Amino acid sequence: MRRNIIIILTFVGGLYYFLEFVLPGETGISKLIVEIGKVTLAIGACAFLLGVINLLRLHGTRVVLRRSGWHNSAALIVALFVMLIVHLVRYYSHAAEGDAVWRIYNLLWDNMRVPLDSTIFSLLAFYIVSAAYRSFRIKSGEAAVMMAAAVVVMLGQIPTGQEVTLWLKGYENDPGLWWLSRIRVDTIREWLMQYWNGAAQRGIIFGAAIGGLAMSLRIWLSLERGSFFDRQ
Amino acid sequence: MNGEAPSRMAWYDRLQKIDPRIIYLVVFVLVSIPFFVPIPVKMEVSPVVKKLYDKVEQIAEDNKRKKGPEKFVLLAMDWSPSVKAENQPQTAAMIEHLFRRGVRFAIMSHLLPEGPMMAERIAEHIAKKYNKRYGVDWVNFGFRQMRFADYMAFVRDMYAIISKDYRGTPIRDVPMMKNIRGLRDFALVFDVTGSGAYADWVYYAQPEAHFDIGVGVTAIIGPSIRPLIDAGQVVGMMEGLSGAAQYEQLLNIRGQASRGMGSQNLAHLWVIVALILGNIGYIASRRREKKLKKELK
Repeated sequence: MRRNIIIILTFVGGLYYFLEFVLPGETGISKLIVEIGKVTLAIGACAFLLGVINLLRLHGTRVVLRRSGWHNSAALIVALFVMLIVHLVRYYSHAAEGDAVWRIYNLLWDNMRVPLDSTIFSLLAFYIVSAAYRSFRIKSGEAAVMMAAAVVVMLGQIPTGQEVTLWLKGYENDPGLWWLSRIRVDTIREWLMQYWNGAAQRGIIFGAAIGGLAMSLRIWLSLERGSFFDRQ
Repeated sequence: MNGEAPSRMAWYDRLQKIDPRIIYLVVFVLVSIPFFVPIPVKMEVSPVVKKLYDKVEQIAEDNKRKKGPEKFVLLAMDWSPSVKAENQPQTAAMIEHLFRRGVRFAIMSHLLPEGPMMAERIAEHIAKKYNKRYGVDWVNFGFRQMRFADYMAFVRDMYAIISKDYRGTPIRDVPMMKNIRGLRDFALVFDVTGSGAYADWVYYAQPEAHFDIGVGVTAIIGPSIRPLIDAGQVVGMMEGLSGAAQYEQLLNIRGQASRGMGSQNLAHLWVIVALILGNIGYIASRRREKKLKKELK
């Protein structure tokens, strides 16, 4: 019974959005879209709450049972609540900028969250250089072409790289040598990115779209055996 | 350890096995230099950046000539501090342009709560320079969790989805909103992101609302936008820090992106040098191997 209700709801929901999207102009069912949109917004907001509950269950258990790495879990819970409380107090007390709660908030946000987040991401720069150096070897003709393309793309997006061939721009209006102005590093980069990369990206998008369509149909018709039905 | 003299590594092997710590150190030094010695940055503006710039100019001109009802720009701020280095200068460059040309705009995010908050600070900072006021020249819708089909509701009735602004004011009480009937009054949605967030605007909102879409994305996302630009679904983009620096150049300002490009310039050159060194070592070692094999035969 429960399973049938879910199958029917999934099908009707999918059918509604499908018809709403493909039928031209405003139809009788169009009036519902805003109300349904509000409901899905509320569901989205509930997902945040579920996320917090899940985090607390997982990390709370680890702290209570003193499992390995419990202190990391404790730090996570403390950070979560400190940020949450400070933000709520700041928002609902309508505190003016410069008040104590604002200063605490700025301390947490500007001096902890932003630098931590940015630092983790910027470490990529170091790893990428090291990984490129270690793994990028011209072992075949294809590898040589790929490396040449990579170097041109990198040079084409930095000022020093562009400077190397910028003098060719002078031939732009020369009736016989205009083509020289087209073989600058920055124009070759643009050509590689727009046409060669664009073609490959288009192929990926088509492939992913067909896969997505097949997956959507399976979910819509409840043919997909997810974790929910497997537990039935 | 066992009393034997350590064997000396050949030069070509050394070139292939540079200590990663040395590579990291060089990256650190090169990235740091422009903080102390500013490097002048002059770049060729990419056509995709120019198209985005021209679109904003066109909106400004249309508004100035009162060609139809006033058009606005929606800044979709789907970024967080992790991608601040690239997305913040892009946001700042666009806001600078909008304030300068008097195009009124709204800020929001459908993906990350941090986005509107960070964009608000940037807007407040630049607003002082142009003497612009919140609520009159710009508004912040804040964060609304929206995915896929939610956009259809958002396009039909924006006010049903957004009832209060970021500061808690009922949205209909914000002076600027009196001129906005719905999402169709926005001529351009500029999505700044380090993810695929732009796709929701392209696939779900644009077919109904018919606005143009511009994007400011991290360099890693840039390649995936190219087919959309070719198809006309995306009007133009700022690709990474370099795209933001080119936009600043069009605005004739030296902002965060232009300053940051000094570091990126040197770091990219180091990647190329490291690649060349590694490959010189590799090719030399292969030649040496071949020579040894020949001698053994």
